[in-house]
Amino acid sequence: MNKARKQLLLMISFTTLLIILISGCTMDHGLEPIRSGVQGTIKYIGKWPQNTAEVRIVAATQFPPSSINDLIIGDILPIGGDSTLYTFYLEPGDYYLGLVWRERNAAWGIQSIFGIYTEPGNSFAPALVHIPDSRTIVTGKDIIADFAYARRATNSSIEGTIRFIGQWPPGSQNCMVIATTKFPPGSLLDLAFSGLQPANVDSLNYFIPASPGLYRAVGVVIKKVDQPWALESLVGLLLKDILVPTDSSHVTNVNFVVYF
Amino acid sequence: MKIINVFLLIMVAVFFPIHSIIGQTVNSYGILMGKVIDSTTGMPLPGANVMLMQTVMGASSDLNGNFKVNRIPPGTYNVKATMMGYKSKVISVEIPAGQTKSVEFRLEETVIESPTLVVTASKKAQSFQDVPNSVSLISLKEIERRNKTYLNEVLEYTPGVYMMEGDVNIRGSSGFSLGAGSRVLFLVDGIPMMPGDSGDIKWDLVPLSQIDRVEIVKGAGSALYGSHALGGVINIITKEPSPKPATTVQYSVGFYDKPYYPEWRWTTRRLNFNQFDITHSQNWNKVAMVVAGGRKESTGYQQNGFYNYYNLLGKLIYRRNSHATFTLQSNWSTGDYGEVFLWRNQNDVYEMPVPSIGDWVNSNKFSLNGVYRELVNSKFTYKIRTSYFANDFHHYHHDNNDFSKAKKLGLEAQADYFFHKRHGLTFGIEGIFDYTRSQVWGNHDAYTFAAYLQDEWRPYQNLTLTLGGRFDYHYVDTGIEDTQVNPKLGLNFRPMATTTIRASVGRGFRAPTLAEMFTETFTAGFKVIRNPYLKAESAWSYELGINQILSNQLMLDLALFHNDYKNFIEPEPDIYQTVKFVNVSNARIRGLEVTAQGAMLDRFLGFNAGYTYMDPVDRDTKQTLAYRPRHLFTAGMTLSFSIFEAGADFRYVSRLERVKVYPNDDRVAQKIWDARIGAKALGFNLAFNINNLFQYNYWQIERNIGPPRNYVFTITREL
Repeated sequence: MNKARKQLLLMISFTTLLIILISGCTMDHGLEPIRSGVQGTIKYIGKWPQNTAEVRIVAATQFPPSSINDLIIGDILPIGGDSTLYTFYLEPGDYYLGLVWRERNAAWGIQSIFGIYTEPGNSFAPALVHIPDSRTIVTGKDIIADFAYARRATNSSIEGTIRFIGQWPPGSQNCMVIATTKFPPGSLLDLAFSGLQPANVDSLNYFIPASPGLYRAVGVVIKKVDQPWALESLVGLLLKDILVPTDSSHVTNVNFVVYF
Repeated sequence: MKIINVFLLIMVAVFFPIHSIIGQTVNSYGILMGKVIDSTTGMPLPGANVMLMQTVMGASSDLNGNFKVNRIPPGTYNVKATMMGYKSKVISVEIPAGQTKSVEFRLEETVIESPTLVVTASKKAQSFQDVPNSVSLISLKEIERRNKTYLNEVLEYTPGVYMMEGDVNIRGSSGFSLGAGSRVLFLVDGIPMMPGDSGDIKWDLVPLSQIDRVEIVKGAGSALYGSHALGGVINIITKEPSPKPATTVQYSVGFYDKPYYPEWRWTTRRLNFNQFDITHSQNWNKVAMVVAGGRKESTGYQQNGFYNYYNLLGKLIYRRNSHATFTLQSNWSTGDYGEVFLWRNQNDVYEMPVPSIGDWVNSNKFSLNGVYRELVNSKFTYKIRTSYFANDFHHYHHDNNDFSKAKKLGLEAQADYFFHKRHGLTFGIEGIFDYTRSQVWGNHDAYTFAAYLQDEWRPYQNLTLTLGGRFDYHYVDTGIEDTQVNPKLGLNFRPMATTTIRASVGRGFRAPTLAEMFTETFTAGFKVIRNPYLKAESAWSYELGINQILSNQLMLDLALFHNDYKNFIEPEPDIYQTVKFVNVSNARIRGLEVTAQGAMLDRFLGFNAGYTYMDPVDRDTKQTLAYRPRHLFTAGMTLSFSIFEAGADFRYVSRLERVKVYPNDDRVAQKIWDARIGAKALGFNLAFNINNLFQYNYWQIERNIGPPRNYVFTITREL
């Protein structure tokens, strides 16, 4: 091999190595750990059901989440005990926190939420947890989970149409339709929610994923701009016993009118 | 059983009369002998293919470059010699009756490692330049360079091909189907090797050390192959017995580097893998054989990611005479592996959720195939093959103990007949019986009967038109039946020796697998429910391509493709995390693919690159199809000097725009660099590879981290 060719080969080899090294040094490393999050204690009320498959912590950026697809699904928590510490790694942002329960050999659904992080002293107001930056672990966010509300996922529902007559309250942003197993409800977990619905409409068709059982009332709650969800914003109520008999029952035509 | 008997009778009725009629017309033959040598060095070229064009006759050159073709009817033939790395050459030869004619091929070396013969696109050997579809070939050299454990890891470097864990995608065909049904047909030596229940690909069935080359045909191939060949066909060609007795021993050892981020470091153990293979090949007068055995084991790079496999392979070839051979081949693979389904969380990506730790699977596969080939005369050849493939698994999971045993029986008769000097017919019939006894999808049987016919018409020397189609009847024991007709039209035009223009249109289909129809299980938090009313999915594939060789140093290929899918079968998780396979929608995937391959400076520098752009759209919802990237890019470079070879490879898969299970999780593109160095000396072949050189962290399916940087050292010795 002549000298000129040798030099050319060396040059090519060197350039190749250089390209690879530069690419490597300037390349990001893809996925990385999430270093921010939320920490706290989960306090369990009631006895662990025998058929518990798993309990997971979940987060949602909107309330109510309309399906499990709206949830950021976190770790599986240890089964058993009265309480457990948790760390849930989340990107910076605002989140609602909850716990879902799954029955053995069953899937979970939105009805499987049996604990929600609420404002201290107000078990009806789901509270937002704010994670300010990518290095902060927000602490002290304790969640109470009550096994009395541990329900398996079913595809049963309460469905109907609501007509709105009159002017919506100023600042109405969204609404949701709720069904309650107790009247008046004792906590947020007594409620089954529709997904987020539009406000300022004349009527809406709703769908509430509802586990089998007897529901005492159906109502509409409004969320106003820059205000949290609050049961005080209840604007319509149908006081009526509604029985959802089985896992696959769809109770339809639960229609009512809301007068503003 | 009655149906099978009827099918056998049809096969006998169709093939044996043809055999006897055509066989009786031959009464006097000539012989063609010769040698294939390198035009520069004069050295013999073993393994070159010599074909008598427009006939079914041909031979391969032996260790000394010699070849011999017997039983040639008198006449003048164009004889073509091809070999990878050399320019093809055609010589016109007159063969007189009862005489032996000699010819010498002096092949000129080309710097492009382009394939020469392919056998998959038309179910018979044909020149790479004559194929109307896009075909990629993975050569033995490339397999050795990659230094991987499984074939799916090698396929990732092929333009237009990407993996979603075990699911292979050709130009976005498959997406992710939880291992229940592939839109790519998987063949071993031309024989379908997909279990009758899950219909997925078992990558451990054939060890990499036994693969001679892999052909990947892109686009619908059901006109010849039937179900599954919707997005393409992957055909593994296993090694033939060597002409002289040879024993090869190969040992690989490797280990995984620590995860890039300290938060992810979960063990102080040195995570490792190793593999041992031994192959013996022997050739007697009429019988040749290969036997191989191997073991591979790994701790895995994730918690619970271990595997431990054993495999055996046997291939026996009996040459009844110069024109009839019988090949018996068997593969067996057994092993256990840890089930790794989802990571614990993004801060513990190499660890499993606590309940899943200890979940494992026992898996066994066995195949036995017999193929009888006979060259009846210069115009007619046929083969009859029987195949048996058994696949069983047993889950030992904390939340299920699913098991399944599936058996697939296949019977096929195929013939190639040049009924006119410009027309070559390929036709055949095929029967498949699937038998499943399973706790996951119940006990079911399914039957498929098919007939196919293809005419390759060469109106001019540089123009080939292909017209064909296949009829399939599919029946499942629940009473569901389906008939499919899949036509195909192809064009191949060579305006110049260095330019090939190709165009094809074809229909493909895939009958739903028993797993997709009847799965009833619960695993890793997902409930899968049955859908016995699934319909077959189908696709029309259109392709236009051009292949250009520039100054003998660079080969460029451009393909435009458009695939229209109907009744797409996809796993659809609902709002309750319950998964059901449903005919979701009609979809369209169109795009373009550009590949380049070349070498410079007396082969000192070899390079290849491929870019695929895809536009995968759900035609009903107008959304991007889930689990389909928009851009794929691969590039590789090899520097060869004396006994040494060094190289680097890069592959890029763009960020998935849509996923179904965890849409809120972080998603990144795949950007992986690999580096390699090898040497051949004193009968040893040494290879050292660093995979994922720059520790790029990615997943192919949600919550399943890809391997960190790992180092592999392989030593191969032929005894």
